Amino acid sequence: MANFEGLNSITLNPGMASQNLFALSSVLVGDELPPLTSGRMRLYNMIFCPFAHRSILYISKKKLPVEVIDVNLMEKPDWFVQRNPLGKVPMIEHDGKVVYESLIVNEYLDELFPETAILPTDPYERAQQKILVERLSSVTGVFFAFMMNKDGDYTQAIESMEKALENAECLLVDEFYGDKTTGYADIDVWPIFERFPIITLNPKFGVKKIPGIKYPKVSTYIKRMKKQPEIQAVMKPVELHENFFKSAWIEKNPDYNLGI
Amino acid sequence: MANFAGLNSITLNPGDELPPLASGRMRLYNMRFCPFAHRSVLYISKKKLPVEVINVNLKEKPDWFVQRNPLGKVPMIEHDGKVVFESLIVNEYLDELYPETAILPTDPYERAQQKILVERLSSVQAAFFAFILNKDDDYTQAIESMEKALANAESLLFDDFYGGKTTGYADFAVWPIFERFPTITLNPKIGVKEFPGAKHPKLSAYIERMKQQPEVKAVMKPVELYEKFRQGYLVEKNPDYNLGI
Repeated sequence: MANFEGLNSITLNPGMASQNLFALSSVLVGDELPPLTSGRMRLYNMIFCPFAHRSILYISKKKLPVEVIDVNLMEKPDWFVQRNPLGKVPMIEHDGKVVYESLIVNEYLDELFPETAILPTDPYERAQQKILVERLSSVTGVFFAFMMNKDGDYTQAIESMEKALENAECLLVDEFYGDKTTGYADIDVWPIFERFPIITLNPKFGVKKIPGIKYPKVSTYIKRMKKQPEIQAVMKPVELHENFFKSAWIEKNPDYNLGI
Repeated sequence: MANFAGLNSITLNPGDELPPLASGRMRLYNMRFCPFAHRSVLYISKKKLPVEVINVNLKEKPDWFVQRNPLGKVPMIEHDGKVVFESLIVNEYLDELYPETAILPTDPYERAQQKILVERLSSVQAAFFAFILNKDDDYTQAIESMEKALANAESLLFDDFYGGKTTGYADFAVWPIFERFPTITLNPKIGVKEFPGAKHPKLSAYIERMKQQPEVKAVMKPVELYEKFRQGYLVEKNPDYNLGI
């Protein structure tokens, strides 16, 4: 995607000239942080993080020229923790200023670049998009209930999933949660919908289809979202998401270079 | 307080009629002891907005309340057929409607910093709830979380207020918890005698300073009243929403 530099980049070795736009990837502890030119904007990312994915989507839709630094979150580089003591992605840096927390980053980007604003300008419509994010938050909870389950009993997780999907279905009153075009709430929830099919890949979970025929609006919505250019440009295959989650949550050894 | 009508009015129950809301008027649905609604009460207090308050029974929610907000939560703002809820969303909405009295800064970076501060101070809230929702009378974990949260809050206080030289968005997000936290010193089983304690001098000074702010004083409640409400709500499972009226 033209505006991103480094989104899925090949690791640069010392002395190697960069072949194309992509410049950096999965920077490990001890790797030097390239200097950030004045006026340039940088996103600290983790290739598979669903929260950082929210800001990737925002930047993708706004077509902002941003360079991406992928960070090893298991062994956080000093220069990362110095900028953000909470050590979380996504994080935006420009002209000595640092902003983090995905939803705060996204709103900040709209305030810096209002000409490509995704949040509505009307205060009431803005509030409704933010309320939708709150109301859709059970979808995120479900996903992690499956991924972080410890006792192998998925009854509770499946029940929560049905509730969350029912809720998401009834909240979908137009083509998107942002109405006629992808909006703040769509971008907030998409990273989880993109990862949801992982739940069907593992037979232990006992879920054969997601979202399933009980949720026709959400099913159509997911297909529609996958066609949106800003989504497609940064989408990853489900198997790749699954392999990462396995490496991170089961093997406790996240492989940040999967798929590169 | 001049701008509020009905801040300490009798709580409405199911079956109680909801007075009509005149066009152009703004209404806040509140619960007199809710710390989240308190965030919006403070915001409206500082902005001096003319708002009428409806205090709602949250244990048995009136139909007209649930119709407007299926999540049935306070605070909730209503005006001209529009409804907004979730305390921080309400507060930012009020600033967008009334920018002349804006509490959030206008600069995007400063706005983001206030919102990040709210996130970073959220452990204070979690620590407080660990005490009041405690079921086994073993407060060791709660005390440990509290010390961590207070040390964190102490380290984040660089000026007179979290908002800088004047009370800001982050101050109003966290104040309701600081106003309630001293209730733990009233329960001998917890074993905490002072709040926030000598280890947190900046916070101690901050809390005293906040209590002097007109917008905070105007809507403040005595610690004993909060403790009484907690007893009724969490211990006897029979909240008395009209305590202190």
